[in-house]
Parts: sequence; structure tokens; C-alpha cells
Amino acid sequence: MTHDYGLYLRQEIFGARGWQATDTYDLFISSFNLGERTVEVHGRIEATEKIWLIHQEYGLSAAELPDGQKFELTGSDEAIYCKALIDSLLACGKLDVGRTRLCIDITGILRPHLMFITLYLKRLGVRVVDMLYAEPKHYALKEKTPFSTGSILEVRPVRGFEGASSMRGTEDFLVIGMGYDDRLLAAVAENKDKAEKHQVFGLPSLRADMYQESVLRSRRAADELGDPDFSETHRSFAPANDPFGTASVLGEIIEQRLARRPATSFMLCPLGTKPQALGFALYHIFEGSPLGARIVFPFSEGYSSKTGSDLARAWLYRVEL
Amino acid sequence: MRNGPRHDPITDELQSKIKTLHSSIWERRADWPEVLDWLDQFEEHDDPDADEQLQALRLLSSFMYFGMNEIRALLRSLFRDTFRPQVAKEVRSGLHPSTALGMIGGMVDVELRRTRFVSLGNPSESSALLLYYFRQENALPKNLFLHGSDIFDLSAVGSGGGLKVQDTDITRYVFIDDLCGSGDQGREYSDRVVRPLKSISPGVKTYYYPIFGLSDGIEHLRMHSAFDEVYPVVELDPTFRAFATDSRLYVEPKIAPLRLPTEATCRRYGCELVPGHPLGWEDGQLYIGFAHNTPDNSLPIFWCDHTCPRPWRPIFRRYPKVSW
Amino acid sequence: MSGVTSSNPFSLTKANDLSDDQIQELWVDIAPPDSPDSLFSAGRFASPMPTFILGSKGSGKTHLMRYASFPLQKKRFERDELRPLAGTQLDGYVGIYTLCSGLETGRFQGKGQSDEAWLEVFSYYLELSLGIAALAVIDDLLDGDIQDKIEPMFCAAVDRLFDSDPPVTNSVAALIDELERRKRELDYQVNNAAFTGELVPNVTASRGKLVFGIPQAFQNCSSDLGGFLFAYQLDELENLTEAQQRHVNTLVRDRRGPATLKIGARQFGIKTHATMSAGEENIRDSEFEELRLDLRFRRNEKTYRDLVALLVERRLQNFWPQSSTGLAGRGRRLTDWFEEPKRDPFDPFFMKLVKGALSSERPHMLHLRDALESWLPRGIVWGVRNDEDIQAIMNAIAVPDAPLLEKLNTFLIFNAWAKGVNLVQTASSVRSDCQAFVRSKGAGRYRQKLDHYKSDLIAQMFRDASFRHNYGGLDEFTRMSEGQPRALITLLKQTFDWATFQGERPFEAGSISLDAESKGALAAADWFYNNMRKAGGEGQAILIAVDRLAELFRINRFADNPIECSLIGFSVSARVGSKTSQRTLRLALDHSFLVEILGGQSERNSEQVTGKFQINRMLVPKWGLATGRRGIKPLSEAEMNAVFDPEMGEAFEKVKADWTSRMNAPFERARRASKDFVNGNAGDSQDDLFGD
Repeated sequence: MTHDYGLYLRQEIFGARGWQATDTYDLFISSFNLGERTVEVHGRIEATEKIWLIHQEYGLSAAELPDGQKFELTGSDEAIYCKALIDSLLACGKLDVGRTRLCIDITGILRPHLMFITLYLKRLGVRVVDMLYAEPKHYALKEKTPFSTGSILEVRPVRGFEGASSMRGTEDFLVIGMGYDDRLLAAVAENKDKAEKHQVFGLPSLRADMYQESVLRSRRAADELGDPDFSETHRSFAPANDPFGTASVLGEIIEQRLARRPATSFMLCPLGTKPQALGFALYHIFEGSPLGARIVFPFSEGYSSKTGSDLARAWLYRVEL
Repeated sequence: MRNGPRHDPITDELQSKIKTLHSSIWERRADWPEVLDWLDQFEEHDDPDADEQLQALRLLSSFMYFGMNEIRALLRSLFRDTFRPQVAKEVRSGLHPSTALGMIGGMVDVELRRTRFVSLGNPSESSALLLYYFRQENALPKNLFLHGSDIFDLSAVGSGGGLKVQDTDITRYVFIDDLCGSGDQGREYSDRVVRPLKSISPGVKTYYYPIFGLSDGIEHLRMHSAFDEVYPVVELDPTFRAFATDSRLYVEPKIAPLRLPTEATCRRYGCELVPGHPLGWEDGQLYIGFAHNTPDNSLPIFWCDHTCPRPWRPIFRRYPKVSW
Repeated sequence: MSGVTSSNPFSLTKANDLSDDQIQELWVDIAPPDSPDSLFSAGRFASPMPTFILGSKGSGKTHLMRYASFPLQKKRFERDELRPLAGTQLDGYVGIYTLCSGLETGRFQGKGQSDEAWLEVFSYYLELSLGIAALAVIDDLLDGDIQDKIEPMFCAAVDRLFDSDPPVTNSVAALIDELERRKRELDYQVNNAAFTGELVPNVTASRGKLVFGIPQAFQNCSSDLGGFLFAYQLDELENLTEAQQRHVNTLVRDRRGPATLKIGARQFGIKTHATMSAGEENIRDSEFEELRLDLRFRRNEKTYRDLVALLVERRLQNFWPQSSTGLAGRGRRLTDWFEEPKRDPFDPFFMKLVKGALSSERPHMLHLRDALESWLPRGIVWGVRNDEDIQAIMNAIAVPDAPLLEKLNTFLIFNAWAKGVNLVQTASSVRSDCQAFVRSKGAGRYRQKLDHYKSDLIAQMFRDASFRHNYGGLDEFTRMSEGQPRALITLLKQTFDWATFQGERPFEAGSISLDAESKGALAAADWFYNNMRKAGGEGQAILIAVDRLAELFRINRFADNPIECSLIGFSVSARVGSKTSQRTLRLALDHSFLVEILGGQSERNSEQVTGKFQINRMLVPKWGLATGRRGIKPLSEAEMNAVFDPEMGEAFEKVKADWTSRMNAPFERARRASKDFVNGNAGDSQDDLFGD
């Protein structure tokens, strides 16, 4: 039986009933972008230290940067960036792996960075970290919202999640967390042309119509996905706002595949929501890594710094590592 | 359908979208000849903005259909991501933080065995059907499932005794429904079943989980019902009413002007189709349908058939001919 | 039909979606494999000289390489009841297929390590990967009794190939396990470097030791094991960095023993032919050969058509047994399953197109009359003095029963107008030519003009009627696919889907409607066009250029007097154009948005070397352009820059205005006015409709 993610705590901290009371923290980290969601949460959370992460991929001008403590490191990949961040926090004592009550808002953070930080914290011995996610009411132009911008630089494994290519065998199997950005989807699907692809759609979706919209978008890459008929066998569903459910679903997919084809080499690609990306990371940390699985990602030049509109709901996930 | 330089680009775009939907989520329902047949019931017009067929086609292209796979996925999620973690949370709140996960898992299982899943007393197919799939998807034993009438033991009532529960071991009752609209039905059930239940067993916890819930109805139940926990798997906020001022369908500036004319069209036909509720039950104005049914809160132009006061050809019929 | 999944025989378009069985089954070649004309021989898998197999997406490159690879060879050996070793010796080679993306070279960068360190890691990783692949094949070849005799000797020989830490095994399986273990260890170290900042791999075999050493060691074991090559098929080289490609180029240059490399890549994917040794670069036909798959088909239309027919029939063979009508209609020709666009001027369709109107009310007649009447006061309508003259012209050219001929006649009038010829006289001679044609339907200059301009004439009539332009027929689809089998399959797939969606029964009953075909063609064009969305800035430049080019071609197509007929191509001198324009043009070619027009490189009037290019015909449905190319328009330097430089938006608007005024009544010589702009425009031709 696989890891029981169902026991982990997830809690709605903002919704129709307004803001719920939250714990106070020693250290709060959030990635800044121009959507109001991150700013609102940043203001709401009580913490001794609050740090804004600045990603150059958002292309923010100096005037757009927020006040307060900031961390940025241009020209770095996710490993160098996050390692520098965490190491500096350890060095100045703001982070103590045994004692700090740590909270991270994952709403604005880039997926590779989110995953790397989670893995790095685990390796350092952090036992628990609260992660927050703020859902948008809707995306600006529904299924035509642009997300990534500029060229797609390359499709490569996320640092730290590179797996071992030959551990299982030669049959490539790619599990894709489906999102809205069909550019990225097509890039990954094409790069992993030979792999059999399994699509994980966000359902329940953040808002009721987002599932249908994500399917519409994904059909534009039907050719690259090798899925002309939207086949049932190549499709699963995982909750868009729940990393733990996502990790569970991944576990099931991979278990089923291994039972049928033991010589499978696994690749995962989280193109869905941030909570889903977190779920991919958690699955890899607890179960995927021993199988030699790797997480790949289509790295883009830039990302849109404002995609979603106002805050609809906010979640807290207590990640126990 | 009318052809012309102004109509064609719109028709092409919408037809293309529907083709994609047809061959993916819609389980191959609504192919083009069927769509044309349905659209034929509306009037054409030289001005594309006033063309009823284009208005209806646009509405259709946004229709949210949840097929069998999707419904099953939602039922699975309900248990795996909502209910069971809720139980885990309740269990953990009474434990020391350092308790091993393995132990917690065991305790949660014990609690689950003392839970019962109840269909919401509505004798229609959908509720029982949903519980059947819920049980299958989550591999739950049959004995965890009850009909509402089995909650109580009425044997002593006539002879001067009081109302009792059948099984005093049960600590949780979970009620599953497909759509919570205004919440009236849930409220009524709460008054009839849940209040009496809690009056004789105050320690018992009750959960109401509709797969789809309108925000207003959910709010109503949270304020006015006796359920301890009310949570829809998929929430439909007021922007999901087709013609609300902040309707999701008419957000784009180029399309926004079509909202009122389209509403007028739907109302016009709706008045003949379902005289008391031209835009759907309780002015629902929804554009949603499921594999097993199309709820009557959805716009009547989608689901009315030959049995309605004005005979009509539906595009997403309310009761499918083929049964699952 | 609702609720029923109809299986589309063309739904799997990519080689990598096909299983090995399907690759074998769906393989079509234009000649038997051992014939030098066959596609298969072109791969030269049994030849020691390394080959670069270049092709765009959908050229069939992967299909070819997989067909030639060992898993497929084995299937054929089983079918022919040959033991693997015997079969391999008969084939002359064994194909060891590796996808570069499988190496995940994206790991070999950053993490605070130097480029040199990463190159060393890449080199070792490649040795291990290819070594393991070769050993796996050898494991299969060594079966039965040879195995016991040879295996220990072979393993000992392989041990000696290592620079350090020899594996010391006596079975191939154990050897493979050990190499896999080393590979995993490397994976682990590479992954960990992100956290530790350290990377100290234990490189036990340097470049070429295993890749070339293992095949040699094998054949050294016994003379019975010789007679074939180990052909390493390295596919998708474009995924490697330039430095990594230099490493591979070094392997190409250092090729030795019974081993060779067959490298697959997109045509723009080869970043360099330089090697690791400074100054040494591999030269084509010296160190390697090149096979350009795209060109092969585009050079030989007949070959491609035959291939297409075979391809389609093969796919349909799997489809027909499933359908409910089974054998019905199987006696038909392949082309009969597709409705063809109407081309015959006497087809009643053209009466429908003008909605049965009287000649004088038809859009093209009204348009001509309107133009004549508007410009008459300015005195620039040659030979026309008054309304009676106009009426005489209109009467002369009217052809009530054949609107298409009537349309052609209006064309001829506009053309005469553009050349400054007397229109009343022209109308008279047009009338007699037309009547002669109607009577005899024979060849002659009238017929020739009709044939040349038919496509544009029909396009204009469609537009006048607000009909969507149509594309259809297997021949047209074949032309549109530009020698790329996958593009054709995609066209058919989309068409089939649309036909089914609209309630037709493609390949079961009747013919696929023009409507479904046109929608399918447009969907395929969008698919092709959207491939560029991944490329960011560069992709944008290509899209802008192609859009602009198409706009110009549309101006021509819908003009009163088009300069060229069925215009989708242009020519430009080799050295003109800014750096940016040249770069965009090259990119567009690399990504197959533009294709080179083959056959003849020099321009007829000048000695400069000129390139001729056209829009990839897969795209033309987006703009309603023609699929049969005839005329080619030379572009001046200024025009080229206006099209191919994304920044030159304003200049482009001027070019558009220039083209529009030149080709439409009253045919002002706008060229004079914008002479500074259109500089040195040699060979600008107003094609003489009455000349040749």
C-alpha cells in the first residue's frame, strides 16, 4: 500500500465565510507577482519575518517591486536560486530546521522552485512546513489566457528530481499534470515523443468551468500527446487545489502501470496548478524516487506576472516531511 | 443556419469548439446534425447579434457537461480529499502532534467503520445511483450504506417509548446529493431527519455533501440547517448563472453586449417550455448537465422535450434513453 | 452518430505512437528494400560511412529509422525463419536505436560545475548508454551453442576496453547489469550535485572505447561473427548542445571497425560539424553523407504520389473490415472517396455560385461596369467614350450560361485596361474567342488563359458569393502535403473527423464532402501554423513574415488584374536583404513554413543567383490561396525587408498599397510615385495575358 496522504491536514483559510484564524509563524516566504492574491495573503499572515521572492522570469520592473525584505538572484536555475535562499536563511539564523515555524505561500512561486525547495527542506531535516495557496476567481480570458511567454528554452529534469534513467526499463511513461498552457504541454509532449502519455486533469477544478476549459486547451496538443480520441485509459483526475489528493492519484497511476508493465521508466510533468505541482514533488519524495522516476519540466523564458483575478479561496496544507 | 461574411466566422469558431467538446468530454453527444436540428427551433436573423441560432449556439458551446468518468472522479475525490481527511483532522485534534501516521491511519479506519453513508431520501434514481458509484470508486463495504429510513428505530414510538437510533455505535452520518440548488430540499431533510437525530444523539456528527452546490444554497444550509458540515465538491457561485450581471459567459468585452438579448431569447422560449420557470427551476439559469441527468435548474432550452407544454427537441435531454 | 466512437484510420499520425508491430505493418516503400530506389536503401544502414538523416517533423525520418532498427529486424527475421545472427549478416547491419532525449542531457549543466566537467560526464554517459545498447543486441545474437563458446572470451575482451575498473564478468547479462549500475551511479551523482555542489564521477571508459571497442571485440572472437556493421542510430540530435554535438562529430570522424553512426535530426538541428579537435571539421561526402528526406519526395512528385496512394490504402485496409458495410464500394478508385472541387466551366455549380442571377446582375459584371463608369470621367478608360461603349462591352462579354467564362472575360478586359489597350476592340475579340471556345471546347489561347487563371477566378467568385473557399480531392491534398507523409495523414485525419462529426460516413458510403474536406484542411493548416507557438520570439518573426507574404498574395489573388496566377511563391536574389530578413527567411525554411522551389536556380533575366520559395501549401487554407503554384513573383530588396523584418510594419503597409494600386482599376502606375521605395525592381512583370 502506498503512502497515506489522506491523513495530512488541508484546511480552507479563506472562503465564503471570510478569513479563518491562522497560526503565527517565525518565517513567511512568498513569491511576488502582480496579482492581488499574493499581496493580500502576505498582509494577512502574521509572522516575525516575511520575505518576498522575486523571480526574474516575471519580468518585473524596479518600480513594480514590493516593499519589505526581498530575495532575488538573476541568471540562476532553480537549484542555485533556492539553495542560495535557504542557505542564507540558515546562515543568518532566520531558519532553524528543528524549531522555526515556517510558512510558504506557493501561489506565485515558479513550479521548479517550489519543488526544489520542498525537497531541499526535507533533506535538511525540516519536519513540517505550512504551505498556502490562493485560488483565483477566474482566469482573465478563460481558455485564451496566456501563461508562459517568450521561447521555451528546453525540456529538462527539475534539479534534484532527475531520477535514475535505467532503473526500471526502456518503456517510457510520462504522467502529465494538465493545465491551461497548451504551449508548454505541446513542448513536453513533443520532446518526449516516444513516451506513452497519461494525462491527469484537475478535477475537481478550482472553479466549475475550468475543467472543461483545460480539456479544450489540451486538445490543441492532441497530436503531440498521441491521444486522438481522448481515451479513457490515458486519463485520470486529481483535485486541482489539493497536493495530497494529487500525490495519491499519482501513486495509483504508477502502481497500476507497474503491475501491467514492470519495465517502465517513469517521468512526471506538473503543468497544472501549484498545489498539484506540490503533490508531484511530494509523491516523488515519498515514493517516486526509489523507482528512479524523474520530474521533467518545459522551462520557459518568462511567465505572465498576472493571470488570475481576485481571491476566491485560500488553502493551508500542512506538509509533514 | 444563416451564412454570410458576418455570421460565418462566429459559426466556424463555435462549431469548432463544439466539435472538440463532442469528441472529448461530451462523450460524443451532440454531433453536428443534432445541433442543427436543435438550432432549427430558433430564429435566424441578418444581424448576427440578433440571430437566435447564434445566441443559442454560443450558449451551447459553454455548456458544462460532466460525464460518467467525471462524476466518478468527483465521488472519489469526495471521499479521498474531503470526507476522510476531515475525519483524520477530527481524530488528530485529540491526539499528541507526534503521533505516528501509521497509528493515526488505524484510528481513522476505526472511525470510518462507525460511519454511515445515507442517500438523501429522494427516491429518484440519481441519489441511489451516486451512492452506488461512490461505494464502488472508494471500495467501501456495503454495510456502511443506509437508506434514510434506517437511521431510526421506530419500534418503541407507538407504545409510549421515544425515538431511538438503530445503531448507537454510529458516530457519523454522511448525506450525499447530486445538486444543491436553493438548499430548500436539504433544509427540509435537515428538519425531518437531522434535527430529530441530533436531539436524541447530540454527539453524532452529520455531513451534507452535494456534488454540485450553488453558493447561495450552501450558505443557506450552513446558516439554517442542523448539518455539522456542508461542503459541495464543486461549488457554483452566482457568476455561474448564465445571465447574471457578472456572468462568466459574458466577461469578454466583445461578447458582453449579447447577454441581455440572449436572456430575452431564452425567456421567450422558456415561458412556453416551463411556464413558471422560464430560465430553469428557481431561476437557476444554469448550463450544466450530468451523464445521468440534466438538472431542471439548467435553462429549459437545453433539456425540454416533447412532453413539455410546447413540444421541444432537447440537446442534453433530462432523462437519457439508455440506462447505465 | 452520437455516442459511438468511430475509429479514424488516420488517427495515429506519428511514428512514435505506433507500436513495433504497427511500424512493420504500416511501412510502405516505393521499391523493394534491396532496390537502390527504395527509401530504405537511402538510409544506407549497411554502409560504413556515417549518415545524417535530416528531415522535418513528419518527413518519415523516425519511421524509417525505427523500421531499420533491431526490434523490427527481429520481427522480420522471425517471419523469414532466420536466426538473429544469420538475419543480421544477411541485412549487413544491426540497427541500434537510441533517442537523444532519452539521455536527458538537460541534467548535464549548471549546478556550479564547469562546462568541461559536464562534457566529460556526457561523454562517459554516452559510452555507457551506447555500450549497453550494443551489448543488449549482442546478447540476442549470441544464442544457442555459439553463446557458450564465445561469451566468456567476449566478456574478457570487453574488460580490456576499460581504462580503469574493468567489470570482470563472464556473461553478457552480467556485463550489462554492471554497466547499468555504473550508469545509475552517475545518475545519482549528477542529481546530487545540485545539493552538494560537488561532482566527481569515476570515468572508467573514455570516448569511443566502448562504442567502437565492443563491436570490434565481438567480431574478433570468431570469423563466424563477422559480415555486418553495428549501426548506432542516434535520433533527434537537435536535443544536444553544440558542445555535445561536437563530441558526436568526433565519434563520426574517429569511426573505426565494424561500427558506424546513422544520425537523425531536424534539418535545422545540426548546430555544427566541427569536432573536438580545433580546426577539424567534418565535411559532407568525406566524413559523412547526408540524406534529406523532405527533398527526396519533393523532387519526385510521382514517387511521392505513389507512396501516398500506398500509405492511404494500407491504412484503409485496417479500417474497412471494421465498418458495417464491409466490402461495399471497395471496387472504387481511391480518389473516388473524395469529392472534388468543381473546375469545369459548364458545371451547373457555377450558376448556383451566382445564385442564378442574370448576367447584368452578377457581382463580377457589376464590378466591371462600376469601375468603367467611375473612371470614365478621368479619361483613363482606353477606347471608351461614353455609356454606350460601356454597354457594348458588357453585352459583348456576357455569357449567361457559363458564369465562369463570363468572369474570365471581365478579367481579360481589366488586363487590357492595365496595358492601355482599346477596351471596345478587346471586348469584341474576347467575344469571338469565347464563342469559339464554347463551340469547340478546344485548345487555344482562350483555353490557356482559362486554365492559368481558373483558380483565382473561382476564388474571386466564391468571395463574391460569400462562400467559403474549398479544398478537396486526394490529388490536391497530396500536393498540399509538400512531400511530408505525416502532413498528409494529418489532413486526412482532420477531414475524417469533420466528416464524421457532420454525420457523413467517410470511406463507407458516398464521398467525403467538400465542406468536410475544407474544414479538415483548415484544421490541418491551423495545426501546422500552431507548431510555431512554442518557439517564442523567433516563432513570432516567422509567423509575421508568413502572414505578410500571404496578405500580399491575397491582394494578387483577389485583384482585378493579378500580376501572377495562383501566386504562392516568390523569388529573391541570394545576397539581398538585411541580416534580420535573411535570418527570418532561413528560419521559415528550417521550420518548413516556406519551402524551396526545386529545379532551376538562376533568374531568367539576370546572372545573379536567385532563390525561389513558396508558402508551404499546408498553410494556404488559412488565407484561401491556391494549391497549384504557377507564377512566381520576384521581390525587390525593399519588399523582402518589409515582409521578413518584423519591425518594418510601416514599410509593409506601403508595399501593400503599392501592390493594391498596381493590380486594381484604374491601374495607376503607382510604381512611379513610389519609385524611391521600390528600388531596382528588375523583372517586375505584368504577365501578358495574350503572350506566353
